[in-house]
Amino acid sequence: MDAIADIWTILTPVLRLAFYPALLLAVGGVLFSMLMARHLGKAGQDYTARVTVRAALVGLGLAAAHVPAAAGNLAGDLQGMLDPMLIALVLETPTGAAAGMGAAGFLLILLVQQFARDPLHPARITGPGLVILSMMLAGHVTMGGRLAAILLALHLAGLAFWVGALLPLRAMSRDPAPYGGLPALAGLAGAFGRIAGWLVPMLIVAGLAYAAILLGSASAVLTTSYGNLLLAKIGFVGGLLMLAAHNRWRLVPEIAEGKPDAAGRLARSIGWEILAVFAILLATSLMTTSVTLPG
Amino acid sequence: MTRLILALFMFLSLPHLAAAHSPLLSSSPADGAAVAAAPDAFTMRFKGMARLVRFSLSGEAAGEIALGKDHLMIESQTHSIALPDLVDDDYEVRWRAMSADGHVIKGGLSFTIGAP
Repeated sequence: MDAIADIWTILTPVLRLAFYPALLLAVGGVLFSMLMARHLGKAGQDYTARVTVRAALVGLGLAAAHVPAAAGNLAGDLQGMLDPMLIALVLETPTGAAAGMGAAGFLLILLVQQFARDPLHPARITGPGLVILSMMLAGHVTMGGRLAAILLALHLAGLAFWVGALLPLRAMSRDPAPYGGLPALAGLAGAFGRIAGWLVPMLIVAGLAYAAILLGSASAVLTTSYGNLLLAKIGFVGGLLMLAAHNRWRLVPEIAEGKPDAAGRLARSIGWEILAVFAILLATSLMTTSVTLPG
Repeated sequence: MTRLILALFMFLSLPHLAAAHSPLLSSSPADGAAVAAAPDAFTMRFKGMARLVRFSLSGEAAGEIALGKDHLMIESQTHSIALPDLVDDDYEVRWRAMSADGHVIKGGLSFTIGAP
């Protein structure tokens, strides 16, 4: 049986590929500013807050756009995006519920960011919580039961913290002076590395267990499109982990020792990490929009 | 950097975009089947519950076949679409549906009525 190729074959994964970074930067920005509150300093907190607000605005728009996009995809053309009957249908489905909850979460991130300036204010966790919860409402995760939902939530929260750290760390590495200089950068990067020490195993275990639940069998890794994309994703994750290990055990100690070019090399290395994250998200967006689950 | 990103997108996307969501377990007539007599209905069975939103049937010579809409917007694992009297021809089916997990699913198939 043939699949139908149309404009939505491209637009659907592209929309998802734009949505994931917004989600991870908005949620991750909040988590990073909370967990690194002692090490960030005011300039670092302000930079992280700017990234968080911009990502939440993009996330809000893209979460809302999921509804007309699904309507257009159902119709098979762009005019379907404005079809009231199809929009009403999408709003009744898990896609509509996820879009609504996700948009509410991003809105909450924006509001709380304005009114709860203290990075450790407990209200700041509500928006990210809603956004992550919205990701449990639709898509492949609903086929995997409660355990799959818990594993995905852990995976998303952990990955968001990591991704939320990348832009502030890169900004500080490029020009440490406004953020407290090299000692502050070494302190922040060191603290981030210590959290990553237990975060990375959790991410890997949660991600692999989640994939195992959805795949059903080891052979599906080689014999299905979903499994092939998962393999590619694991390859990119491997590259990301090597970069992270290089940063933690080589560059951050050099920054702490005051080596003059170490911060610049860390900034470049984080640039490669961002590219690896993009590749991971590209594989993920194809896995969640363009291929069916095996079995 | 931009070239690397584009290359990554092409490498990962192209093989899989062609195999987009199509979780149709079976149909009657089946894809590629040649049947001697025109069926009264076209039946589709999905992996899970699905709401059929679009369904079209066209013959190579007969052109677009007019169908009712009673089969649309119903959530079920099996869908039956009543067919008018069909003449001998090569037919093509196109369908789109919303699956229970919120994914848009779509596909196409063909069958022949009469002597090949």
